Parts: sequence; C-alpha cells; structure tokens
Amino acid sequence: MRSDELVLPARATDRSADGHAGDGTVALVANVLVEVVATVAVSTARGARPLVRAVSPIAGPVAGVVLRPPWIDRRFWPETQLRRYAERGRARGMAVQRSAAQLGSAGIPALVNAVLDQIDLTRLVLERVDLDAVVASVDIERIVATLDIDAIAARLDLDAVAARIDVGAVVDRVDIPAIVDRVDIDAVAARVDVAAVVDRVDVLGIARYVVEALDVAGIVRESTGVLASETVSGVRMRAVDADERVGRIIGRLLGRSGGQGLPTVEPQ
Amino acid sequence: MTVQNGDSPHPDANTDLGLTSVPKAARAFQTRPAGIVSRLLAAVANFGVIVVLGGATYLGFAGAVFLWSPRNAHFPHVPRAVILATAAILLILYLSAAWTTSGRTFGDQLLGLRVLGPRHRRMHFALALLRAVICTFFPIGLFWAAFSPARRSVADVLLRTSVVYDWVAHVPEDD
Repeated sequence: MRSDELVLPARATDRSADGHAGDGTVALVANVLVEVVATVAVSTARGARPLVRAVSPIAGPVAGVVLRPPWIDRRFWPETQLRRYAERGRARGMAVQRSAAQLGSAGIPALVNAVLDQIDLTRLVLERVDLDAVVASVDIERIVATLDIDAIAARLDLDAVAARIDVGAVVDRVDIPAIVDRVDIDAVAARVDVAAVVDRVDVLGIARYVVEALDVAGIVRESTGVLASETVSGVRMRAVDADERVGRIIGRLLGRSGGQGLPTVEPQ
Repeated sequence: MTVQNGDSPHPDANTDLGLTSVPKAARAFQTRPAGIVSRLLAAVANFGVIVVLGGATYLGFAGAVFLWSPRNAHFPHVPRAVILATAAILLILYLSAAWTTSGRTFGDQLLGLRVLGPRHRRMHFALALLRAVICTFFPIGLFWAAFSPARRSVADVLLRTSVVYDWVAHVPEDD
C-alpha cells in the first residue's frame, strides 16, 4: 500500500471503478497486514529480548540456524526478509500518521462546523454546564483590583449622563418630610453664628424704614412734655418764620439776599 | 455691628433713625443761626424769669422782715438802684449758669435756641459770665443780629459765640 492511497481514499475509490479495483484492494490489505505482522513480530522480538537472553543458551543456536541458515545466501535469510518487512511497515506507519494528520487538519474544521450547525450550543451549555459553579469559581475581587476605575471614570461623559437623569422624578420619589423629621433642628441652630448673621443685616436701614412707616417721630412728639407740645412747636415755628421774614426785609433794605444761605452750625 | 446686653447700639442711633421730636418743617432750620425775632422773644422770656426771681426775692426779704419784727411788719422800701443792681446780678448769674450748663435759658428753651461758644461747643463759665455781663449792660447789642449776615449780636462778635436753632434736648460738649 502506498501513502497516497491512504491520504486520498477517493482516488482508490475512483480506481475501483475500473476492473482491477477489487484485486488491488485485497492485495493492498494483505500487504498491509503482512507488514503490520512483521512489525509486530520484530517489536515483540525486541521486547522479548530478556526472555530470549534467558533461553538463548538453548534456543539461540536453533534460532540462529532458522533465521540465518548457513546454506542459503544472506539475501534470502528469513531474518533479512523479516527486517525488510519491518522497515517497510515502519515507513508505512509513519506515512499513515502523516496522512491522518493532514486529513485531520483539512477535515476536522469542516467536520466540527457541520457538527456545531446541528447543535444548539447555547442550550447545550445552559443544560449541561453548571454556570453557578463557574461563576462561583471566578475571583471577582482580584479582577476588580486589576481595573483602573479612575481611568474608566475619566472616560465617562458625566454631563451627558446627568442630562439624561430626570431630576424631577428623582425628587418626587424622595420623602422630604421624613428627612426633615430626622434632622435635629436644635443642633443645627446651636451651630449657627447669629452674631455673624446679624452683622450682615442692615438693621439700621430696616429700623429707619419701620420708623418712617410708623411715623414714630410723631408718636414721640405726642407723648413728650409740655415744652415739646404742639403749642411750643407752634411758637417756635412762628418765631422762625418771623426771623426769616425780618431777615429778608433787612437783607432787601441792605441790598443783599435773605437768610436762606446761612451756614449751619453743628453743636457738639 | 455687635449689640451687647443692655447697651444702646449707637449713641446717635435715634438721630440716624429719624427718632427726633423736631417736626419735619423745622428740621431744615436746625443748627442754623437764629434770627432776631426768636432771640428777642427769648430775651423777653428771660426778663420775665428775672422779674419772677426778683419778686420772689423781694417777697422773701419781706417775709424775713415780718418774721424778724411782726409788729413793725411792712413791705420794705427798696431803692431803685438796689432793684436794678439786684436784677442785674440775678440776670448775670442766671444767664451764665444756664449757658454754662445746658447752653440755654428758659427763653432759649421756649424758642428752641442754644448758645454755643467758640468751635460751637458749650461755653465755660468765665466766657458765659462775660457774655452775660455784656448782654445785661448792653442789651441793645442784640439787635446787631438783625443786620449781621451771620446773625451775630455784639456779644457774639466780641466773644465769637453763636445762637442757633436747636430743638433737640441735649447737652453740648465742653469747649
């Protein structure tokens, strides 16, 4: 049997189409069997060397005469023939191995694809694989430890994420009264710097507005004594008016303007 | 602003707030030199005070005489010179005391006036006494205030004093 006959069985099939196909196949098989037997025999003989050595004092001469008859030419010794068959079988075995490897590399992918096409692999995994056990065997902590969370966060577009958040819906789900009930208002108030707050308030401006709105000056005048009464104020106002008139008259007589331009004097 | 317990926030807070007894119509005149009419009316009122004080002094003197000798009790005759001298002394003492303490007499209080010394502060007693002497013995000098552009009387010109409208009750700082 030649190596190409094993590698390309189709050729053998093609050749079997003619009339010599059946004989060739039988001869091929017989030849292979003989070679295999010879190979096995030689290998067995090699493996049996210790035994042979043990019985060699007795069987050795006999075997030597049988395998190497002295009266026959060396080319026709049985041993020579057996060695030839063994060499041929070894070569054929290697060729068979090479052919099988070539056949596998070419045919196995196609075969595997065909098998996979016939199988629902997902379902098969779900039915046959214990995914919980697989997941349980994964060391999540070690995987997380190898991640650079900062780098991942830096790549995120937080503005876009925030724009997609419905803040109103989030707030609607918050129980604000319950949160307020949990706040210790007294503790918060105790931490407030009231003096600093008052310093920032225009107390004088507020008081001035209130005084003007309520006419506190008028109330004070009404509640003061006799000298500040309406009578005294009337006398004073009449005197002031008289001063102004006299001043204007005398100023006109003297050829100057009235007392409107008199400087004010701040008593201290 | 820090408000401490029991303290007023600011001494001038009431003035800043408009808390004054001065009516709005008179606020424009405050601290301006007073005119002749107001000052003359104040002088008349002061004269009335002196008359009352003199009468009280005379009645007191008569009461003392009555207690000393009830049988010979009568209203004592007082020479005119004594009356004028007593009135002058009373007037000088009264004016100087009033100008030194509050800066105004009863007449000034009634008319809303205040007498101030140089630099517009309260006069010390010597200056007030000198001004009172001038005003007592030369009262006609008051009328110079009607012709003075700054409404200053003769005493004001000589002593650099001034009389202003001041309706608010307070005591000015010392000179």
